[in-house]
Amino acid sequence: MNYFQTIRDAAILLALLIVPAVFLRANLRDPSELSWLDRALLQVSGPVQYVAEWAADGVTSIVEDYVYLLDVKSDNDHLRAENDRLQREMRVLRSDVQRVRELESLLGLRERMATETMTARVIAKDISPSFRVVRLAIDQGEQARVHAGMPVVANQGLVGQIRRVSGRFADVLLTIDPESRVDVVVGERRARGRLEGLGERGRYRCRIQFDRMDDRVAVGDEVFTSGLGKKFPASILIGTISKVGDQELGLHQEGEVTPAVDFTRLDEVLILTSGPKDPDAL
Amino acid sequence: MRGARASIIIVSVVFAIVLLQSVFSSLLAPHPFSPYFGLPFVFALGTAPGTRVLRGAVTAFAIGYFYDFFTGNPLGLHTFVFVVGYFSAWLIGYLLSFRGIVFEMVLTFVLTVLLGGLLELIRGFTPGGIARSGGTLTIALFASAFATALLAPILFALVRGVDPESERAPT
Repeated sequence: MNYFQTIRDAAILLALLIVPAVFLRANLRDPSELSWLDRALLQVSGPVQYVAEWAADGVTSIVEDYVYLLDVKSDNDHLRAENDRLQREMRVLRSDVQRVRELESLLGLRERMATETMTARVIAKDISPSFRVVRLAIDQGEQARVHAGMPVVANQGLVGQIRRVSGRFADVLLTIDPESRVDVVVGERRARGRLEGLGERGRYRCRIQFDRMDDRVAVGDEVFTSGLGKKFPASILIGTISKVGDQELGLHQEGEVTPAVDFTRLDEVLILTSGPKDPDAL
Repeated sequence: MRGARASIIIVSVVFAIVLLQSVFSSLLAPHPFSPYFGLPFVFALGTAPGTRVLRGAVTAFAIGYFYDFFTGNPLGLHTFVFVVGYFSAWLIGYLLSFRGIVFEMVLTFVLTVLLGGLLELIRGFTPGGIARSGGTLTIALFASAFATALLAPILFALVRGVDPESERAPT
């Protein structure tokens, strides 16, 4: 190594120590106290620093994005599981909302009814091969002093009556059952008649036999309990006339009634445990 | 040319380590035991008998420069400290003939404490710089130096691996 090379190396080494010190001094000084040399140094170092920082930030963000991508799968699995759980909870909540609505509806019916009532839950349904309900069992029985003949209603209308009580449960005789008999009035003219179930396995239908041949009834007229015999309180909706028989034929005028109650969807019912307190109030 | 290539590789390795440290900060820089990954490289170059002083100083300068960008400190802070660190290591390497893992760890610990103190001292003069209490600063300095010293043998070996010429006696 010759003399000049040694001097050059020493100068470079000195510069390596002095240059950062000078830059550092310029960076550390209060902006109001900067000399022309400091300002010049900062002007030189600023763009260089900006470009280098931009490059460093770019590399950092690429690496960080990649690292974050590694977590995406686990995050995705976690979110999917969370989503499934929330979906399940939502289904349960929807079901609860439906039940609450039914109970509110029953509560409203209970308040409208001027009789003593008892809430019961449907615990079993006998289904026909055509997927129609032919029998209901409810969770109130002897302990609740339920007995045969008590009317059973839902918010939509009359369901039927208690057929028999077995221990803590009771069977309900539906209005569509062939054994069911209910005295009814129809439409605004209050045409009187007797309703009996048709017992059809493929559809919910009842037959109505009017007392008078000349009673004017039409399809769509609403059918209510008459209150006659005090077995059922008056004015409970049973359904609507869906077909009217030929008035020229037979001894009695007949028609078909579609029940207002959808027996398939029944979950809660009311048992009327006493006769009407004030029949006029119904 | 081999020496220059080795220096570029060393700077790239430090760059990658600093990048990883900034991304996995919780894993690679657990407070207060966050190691100064760059310093052992500088010390290794400073104490290596076969490394030209000029090349070692330039490499230390480059490593310090990267540190300034990644740590968000004023330009020149780490550059200056790392060059000072290089010269200190070179001087110690020149005065002492003792070498080995213990030497590397002790050298790294002592110099990291001193250079860390120098860094904090300069930082204290920075307008708006973070002022730390004496106790906290001491704990942070010693914990960081301890963590750096533990890693020093590995990083010294890494430098020897990347730059085999550094171990040759100067001709």
